[in-house]
Amino acid sequence: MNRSKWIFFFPLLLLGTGVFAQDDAIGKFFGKYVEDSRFTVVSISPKMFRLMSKVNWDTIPSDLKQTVSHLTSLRILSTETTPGVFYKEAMARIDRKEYEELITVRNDKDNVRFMVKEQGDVIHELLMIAVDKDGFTMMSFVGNIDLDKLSRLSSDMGIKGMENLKNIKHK
Amino acid sequence: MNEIRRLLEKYWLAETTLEEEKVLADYFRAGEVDAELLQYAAFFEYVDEEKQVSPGEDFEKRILARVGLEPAAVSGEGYGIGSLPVLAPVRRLRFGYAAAAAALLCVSSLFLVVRLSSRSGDEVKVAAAGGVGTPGKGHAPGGVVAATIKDTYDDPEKALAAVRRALLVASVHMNEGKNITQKNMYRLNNSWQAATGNQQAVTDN
Repeated sequence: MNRSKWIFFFPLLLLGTGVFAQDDAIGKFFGKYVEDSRFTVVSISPKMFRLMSKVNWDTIPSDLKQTVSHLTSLRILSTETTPGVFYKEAMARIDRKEYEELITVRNDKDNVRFMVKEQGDVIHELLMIAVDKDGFTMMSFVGNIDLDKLSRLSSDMGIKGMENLKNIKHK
Repeated sequence: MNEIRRLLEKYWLAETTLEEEKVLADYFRAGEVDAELLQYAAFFEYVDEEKQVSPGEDFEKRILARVGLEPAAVSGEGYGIGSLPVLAPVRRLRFGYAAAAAALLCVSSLFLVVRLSSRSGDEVKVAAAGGVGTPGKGHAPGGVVAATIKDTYDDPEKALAAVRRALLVASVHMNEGKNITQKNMYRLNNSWQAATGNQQAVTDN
């Protein structure tokens, strides 16, 4: 009996890994910009996340460690070309049935939105869309995301190095 | 007499030893069966009879001819009816089919995966070619384009550093949001106290 079960499930497993790569907002709604030279793309696959377990974690704070260990993939898409236009497009493209708006921060300089995709009680994907006059950035974290832990990360670190952080958006 | 009855009870529960079974068989074969136990006599008689059945002289030859083997190719010993070696090849054949089916499924599903991913890759290219210079037009989220994106980093350490930065950026922005919300709540509270007119919730948009 077990054998026949395997015969059925093994191909499904194969299929599962093949399809996974497209299961985030950037893959779904913005795939066409991935090969667009105006965009800078950062993509870290589930495979790379698994490889990270081999890195030396000693110097890494435990909160960060836990957050990272629950992630399965990360994608960042950013551009300095017509940020406002892309921001509008992003807002139009994202399926609001799937992605629920969580936080919107808007001030005189920039505009940041957080959206989440939930599976049951778990936040399966966190999507950040940020725009200011210099650029547009979309960031998608996939995994099991604990918002409390995430928001604590920056307060733990202090404001040190915050200036550098702003720059990576337009790396 | 009671001994036989006790053994029978055990026999029905399949707890008798071979010796005990032989005692029972002998008892029923002897013919002097107690009236009460007569009903079981037929059963033991049947068991005895079945034991007598044996294959004919040319049984092995016929079987070997059926499976297309020369009688000389297989030594006679160990290939009698009822012994496992005759059955074993049949079973092995059945697993062979299962293995073949599994292999076939694996291969076909691999094909499926390869085709799926190459197709979505094409879509990305087509969409990129068609989509250049026309941002803002895609109003419906219906134009779903699946994409397979390559890993940016080969080095897990660099990847981790990037994840760390990204998490921090998200975290910082998230806290900005919290602070603003708190400020707004505070403001809202004050105005509640100050005025009694219609209050509209402050929504960030």
